[in-house]
Amino acid sequence: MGETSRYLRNFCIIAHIDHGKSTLADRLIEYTGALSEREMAEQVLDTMDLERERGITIKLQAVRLNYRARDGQMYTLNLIDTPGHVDFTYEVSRSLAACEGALLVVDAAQGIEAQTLANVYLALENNLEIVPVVNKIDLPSAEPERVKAEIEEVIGLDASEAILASAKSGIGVEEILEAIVSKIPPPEGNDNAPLKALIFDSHFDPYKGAVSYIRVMEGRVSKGTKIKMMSTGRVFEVTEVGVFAPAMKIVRELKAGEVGFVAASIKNVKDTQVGDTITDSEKPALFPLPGYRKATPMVYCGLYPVDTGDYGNLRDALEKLHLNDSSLVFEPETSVALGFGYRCGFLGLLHMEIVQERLEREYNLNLITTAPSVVYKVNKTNGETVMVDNPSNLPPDQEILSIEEPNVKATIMVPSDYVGSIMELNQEKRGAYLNMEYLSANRVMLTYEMPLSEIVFDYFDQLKSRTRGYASLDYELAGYKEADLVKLDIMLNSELVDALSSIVHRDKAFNRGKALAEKLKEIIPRQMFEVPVQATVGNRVIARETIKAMRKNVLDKCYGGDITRKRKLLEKQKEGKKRMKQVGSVEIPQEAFMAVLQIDD
Amino acid sequence: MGLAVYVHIPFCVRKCNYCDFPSYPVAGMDVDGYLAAMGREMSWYKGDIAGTEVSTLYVGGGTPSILANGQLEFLFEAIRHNFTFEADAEISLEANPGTLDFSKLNLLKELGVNRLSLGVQGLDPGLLKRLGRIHTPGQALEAFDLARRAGFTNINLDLMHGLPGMTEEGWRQTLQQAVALGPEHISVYGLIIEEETPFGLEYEAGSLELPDEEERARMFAWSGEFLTESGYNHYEISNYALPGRECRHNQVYWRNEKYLGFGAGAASYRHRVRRTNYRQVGQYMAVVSQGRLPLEEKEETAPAQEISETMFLGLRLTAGVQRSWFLQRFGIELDQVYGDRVAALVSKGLLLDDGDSVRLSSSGILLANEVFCEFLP
Repeated sequence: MGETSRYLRNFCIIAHIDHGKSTLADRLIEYTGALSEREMAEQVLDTMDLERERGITIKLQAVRLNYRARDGQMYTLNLIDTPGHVDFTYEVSRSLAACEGALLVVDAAQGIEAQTLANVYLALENNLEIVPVVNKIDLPSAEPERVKAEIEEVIGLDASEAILASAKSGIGVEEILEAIVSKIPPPEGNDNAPLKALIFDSHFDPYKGAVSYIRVMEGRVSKGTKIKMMSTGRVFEVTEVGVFAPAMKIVRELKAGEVGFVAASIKNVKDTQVGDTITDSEKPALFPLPGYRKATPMVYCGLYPVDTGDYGNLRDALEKLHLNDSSLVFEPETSVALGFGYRCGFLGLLHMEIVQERLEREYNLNLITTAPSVVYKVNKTNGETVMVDNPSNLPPDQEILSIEEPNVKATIMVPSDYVGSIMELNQEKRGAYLNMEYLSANRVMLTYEMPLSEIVFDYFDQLKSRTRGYASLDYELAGYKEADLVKLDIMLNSELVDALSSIVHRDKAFNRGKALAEKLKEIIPRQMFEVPVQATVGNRVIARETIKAMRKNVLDKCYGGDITRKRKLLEKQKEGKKRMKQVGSVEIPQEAFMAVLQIDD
Repeated sequence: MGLAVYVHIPFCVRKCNYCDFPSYPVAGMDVDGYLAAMGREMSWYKGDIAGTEVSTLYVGGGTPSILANGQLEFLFEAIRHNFTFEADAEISLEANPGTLDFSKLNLLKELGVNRLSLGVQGLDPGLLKRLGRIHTPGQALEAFDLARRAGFTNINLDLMHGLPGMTEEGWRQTLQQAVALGPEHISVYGLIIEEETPFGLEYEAGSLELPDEEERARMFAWSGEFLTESGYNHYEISNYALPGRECRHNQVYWRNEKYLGFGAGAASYRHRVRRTNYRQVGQYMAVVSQGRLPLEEKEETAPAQEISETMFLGLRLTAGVQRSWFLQRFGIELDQVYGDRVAALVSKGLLLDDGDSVRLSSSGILLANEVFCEFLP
């Protein structure tokens, strides 16, 4: 062990959304004086506007803290932030691999949530030392003893030394810092061995090129080192190494155990693949570090510019977003109804919403998003198997032998009073009961196997609304299963609108088709002619609604000489039309393409 | 071509529930001061318009007939002091039943008013009350009768349909009663709910029971059929006249020609510039008293915009836009600018094109805004 790494600790925080992770991180930064008070904006680590607005962490961040412990020594603590939402499990696994320990933060009133549990298991698999922290103990509803018991029962961790804290009022912050120093082991690794550094994240800087966030496992790296990316073999000369203080701060070198960044005038983010190992080309390591499983997109949707002239801008924007979010995948596709666009793959619905919002806000694009779809496995009569992520690409009926859909193992934690409503919901969503376990006298963990497509739709909202927000959910893929699935098409004015097609279970096709037709009737404004809305399966019409023709739209009022006002009224009307997409002869508002998400079964 | 002049009297007894025009309850207002300010504003144009006579004058509001006899005399003195009129100039004044008596009507006639526009709006007592009008159906009929006796031979009646609680049958009766009076001109307006009015607030609260779109469309369409049968020429979306009695002043707006407006909130259009005066009476008066033009907004119309406005205003006239007139005005063929759009709208059945002029079809009138949008730049 190098002399420096004895005083080094790398840790992350595992917590459910709202359990106070960001606030705690802020307190740690504040306590150790990494930022002056002036620089302390609320929740330092959540840098994206969206993250602050939604109160969630999406991208992981790292920050370096200096802490003089009670033993008189100065320690360097690297905090690597982790996202808390189920969509971003993949990002969590990345930060875990760069740490030796984790703070497990549990809300003293709410107890352990499903997502927390999943992340703790992930941390245990990675051999991380877990330091339990019971947060928000100053809440009137806090029950720290119950929560401690829950930690012991559910996770099997000794919670007798769990730290009682309140990040909000600063209680327990010093104890937490002491526990990090005393309980989490210092990193191992030889400064003098060949360089091995794990890339756990990257971002693109217009001046520095692609910047890799690394955890050095062995050896050292400094300006001038000719580094080699072990997966591609490409060599770059390091122009800068540094740490996150939390702003990027250049240092002379990074050694085994340390966390920081390297820049090497890398033009292409593809050359700094997250999970790859960096070594020294002049003294290379023999084997790379184990990477981590690549993020697999679970949900796909089409993104189309409302204005077809924006296609190039959409591509540029997606490429830029991809630089900082390698889990986002996209490829060009065309739709008869919507023209040229991109099929994009996301980790989950939240991820999808976030990407969509960032494209609209940060890149000023006016987009149509089609309803999300999972990836189906279609076994054809000719023996071929094809993967279908866009319902309109489903082969014709007669060529299909069977369709398989992705299933997940879903874990739901909920107060026992709500078990009935969860079971009811899961049944509606085609879930198969696997297990029920009492975590404590009044908290239950339910395990179900269910189709991912059912979770993708309004499951999460339903779960929350039927349990007054008390239920939490985690899921992992559990393979493909054959199901009786059909393609539900929508015809507007007798024309098939491919972007409105969806794949649904046969038993639900009728209700979903009816609800969808009704919803579209509500969303699509009257046109100058009557528009029939039909939902079809195969060639059979299963539901029909009619959007009545627009009858009157005329300014029959005396405005005298105020012509400016007349013109503004017309301009406003024209502006409204611009946000619509002309499909065949029908003008369809953007939200219609997401209508399928707004219907209840 | 002579001048078109608009004069705005922004005072009412009370504001109606649907009104978002610049108008104020008259109580406590300095009406004399306002009229004096308008006189001053007019005087600033004397030099500019010297040598041009006024061919139409429109005194609108608010309620111009709310002015006392002395104030009316003062107003017309100020107007005549600053402008000269063509011999057959059209001089219109808006008057509301409930503010008229025989002596006032005689005075107006004497002052040269030769066209009276009566804000009747409805002839159903319940609906009038609902609108917040100050008069009863009886007063409306009486006002018409008095005006005739005072010698007015060119009278317009303003009527509204699509009112909360109005039935199609109720509207038919109202229009039939109005036609029975034999006015020279009838304006038929559909109620438009404007934000920040009492109706607007009720609408947002969901407590306003309006006829649905189908019913409103039928009220509009039936009005056209009935009035045409009764001998009125449907010459503009909302306006009907016996032959030769079309309002000349309003046609200036629809032909997108120049006009001068005076008073609070009044709009002018000259030299391709649109100007609107301060809508607030107090502000208008204060600025005028400092010797400055009371302009709240000023907008230059670019050539493309002028062409666009000329189209959507011109199409309000049922005679439509004549190709030769368009060429003469802009020095460019209509089809060179709008050929494809006209063709598309003709194929949708919204426009009629006889090669000479382009006009709204009967279904196009009901969907006029859809058509007009196509002519925006």
